[in-house]
Amino acid sequence: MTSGRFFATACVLTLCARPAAAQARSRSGFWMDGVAGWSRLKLVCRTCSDDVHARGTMVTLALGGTPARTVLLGVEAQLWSGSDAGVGQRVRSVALVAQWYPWRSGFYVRGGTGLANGRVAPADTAATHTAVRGRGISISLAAGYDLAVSRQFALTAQAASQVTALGDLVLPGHTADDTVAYLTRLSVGLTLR
Amino acid sequence: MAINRANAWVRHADWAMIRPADWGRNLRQGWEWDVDGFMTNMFGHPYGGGFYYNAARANGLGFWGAAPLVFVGSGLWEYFGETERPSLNDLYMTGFGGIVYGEVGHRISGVIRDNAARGPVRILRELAAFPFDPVGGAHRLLSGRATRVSTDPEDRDRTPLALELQGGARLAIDSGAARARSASATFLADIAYGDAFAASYRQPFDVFRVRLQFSPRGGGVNQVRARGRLYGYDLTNAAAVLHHVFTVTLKSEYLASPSYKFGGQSLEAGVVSDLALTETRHVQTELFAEWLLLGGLDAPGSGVRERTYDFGPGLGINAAASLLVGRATVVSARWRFADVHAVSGSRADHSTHFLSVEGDMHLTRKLGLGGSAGWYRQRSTYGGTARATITAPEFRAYLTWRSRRGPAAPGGTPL
Repeated sequence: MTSGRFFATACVLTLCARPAAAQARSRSGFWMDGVAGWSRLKLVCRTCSDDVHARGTMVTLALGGTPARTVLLGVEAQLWSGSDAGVGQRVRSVALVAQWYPWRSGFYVRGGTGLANGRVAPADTAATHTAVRGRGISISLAAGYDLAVSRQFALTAQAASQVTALGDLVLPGHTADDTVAYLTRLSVGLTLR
Repeated sequence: MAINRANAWVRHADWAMIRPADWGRNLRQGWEWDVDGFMTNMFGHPYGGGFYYNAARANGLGFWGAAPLVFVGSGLWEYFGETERPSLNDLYMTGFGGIVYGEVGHRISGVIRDNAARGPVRILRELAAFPFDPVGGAHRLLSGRATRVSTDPEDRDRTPLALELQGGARLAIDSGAARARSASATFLADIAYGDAFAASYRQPFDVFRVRLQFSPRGGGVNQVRARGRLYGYDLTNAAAVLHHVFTVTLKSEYLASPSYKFGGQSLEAGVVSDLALTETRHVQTELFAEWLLLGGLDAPGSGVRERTYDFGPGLGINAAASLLVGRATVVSARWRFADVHAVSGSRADHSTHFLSVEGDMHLTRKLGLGGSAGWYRQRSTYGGTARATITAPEFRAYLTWRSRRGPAAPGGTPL
């Protein structure tokens, strides 16, 4: 089974689980979750000849507090790493996030914004296989589901999309202006609260 | 949808002539940075974002319920409301700025409206509240609340409030070798809502400040700043001589002078303090670490079509101190520093400093005479080497009129 299929299966199993256990869990105080999974990068820029696509893995760790029964606030750190044509690339971010449970089930929506940096290879460097550094901002949106396995622990499945603006990247011979990295991920992990 | 259709059918605006094919293209191509004018991006969008927020508030949602809906509304507009690609800067400015202007407008309109009033007074109050909360005003009109008379004394916002209006002259000195001077009449309004030291934190924006400055022949709207308390925690007893409150704020600002432009949406975390020298004399200070979520500032030769300013996040410090006599600010000083890294525009890093001092001499309980001096400095590094500096001093002399409501009407340091 490929890693993509494994994560897709795990996500489907988690999402199909009965929500009753999740309802019994109370949301208050400190929380923390960690998820990892399959992820895809799309890299675009204003002066690039083409978009770049790359596959990789993404690890996300988040923790925070619970200001209201249906709202969590916290900090989220993410690391994406992957490669395209043998060129290693990575995108990292630290963000403030808000998570909202619209219903009594474990379904939630999470959004956040933060600072990011990355080492990526825009299209015009493909011939030279060069990755260059940039830093900027990230904004993300995720939907997920908590499946409670005890009063404190839950299995979590998450689908997320992140837009990371890395600014102008200096390449050999020219500049990749207004570079933006789109990250899409499917992840599973564990939640503690 | 109404705004889109009005622009399409009445103004025949190209950007509003959207078709399903454009939706598909917008979804495929994704986000970009737009080239709209500075005022449109840094003030128009935040103010417009308040409409989404107040639609949610008017339908009974609280702060945390309404806040995400601003981003939902902005996202839907960006993807499906314009023929142009969705704009990342619009999402930030409309989203975060919309929360600030929306909640401030919601609360100010709650102060102005009086559900117990009748006749012409009622009509005037409803009309006066409309610019602050147009969506809420329309909702009240359609639901009949605008004319329904309430006998509930709690049905009105009675939070302590201070309003100060200033009118006078302004001298702005341009950057560059010529140091061109421009003098103009100027008008300024300061609104202080809630007192950070009189009561403990209750809910987001239970304390906020707004400053608006307008110079008819000096660039029009020079300044719109609004900052609300998102969270507060008393670090010392409220009755102590020295009272500290840990505070988190959300801020939206737009500054435009002949010499420079600066704006953005920020989160700040820090400590505000009140030292009671005597019963009527206090010193108040604030020290914040600032995270400029996304800012915009002048960068000649920005390189993105006709746009002459950069977008970028930043980090900084915001510090202020003021002396209050009888809860009114007599003298105050503020220093603010922010380093901005451009993510759209030029390949640049900008280091900015704001310094201002204001003094107010009270002639009567309501009238006063004041003066202020401000200084802006921006040092930009382009492409890692080329440097450019903007310095822009500004002076004002003015008459003040102030009005306060509530026993603990707020003072503090102007924004």
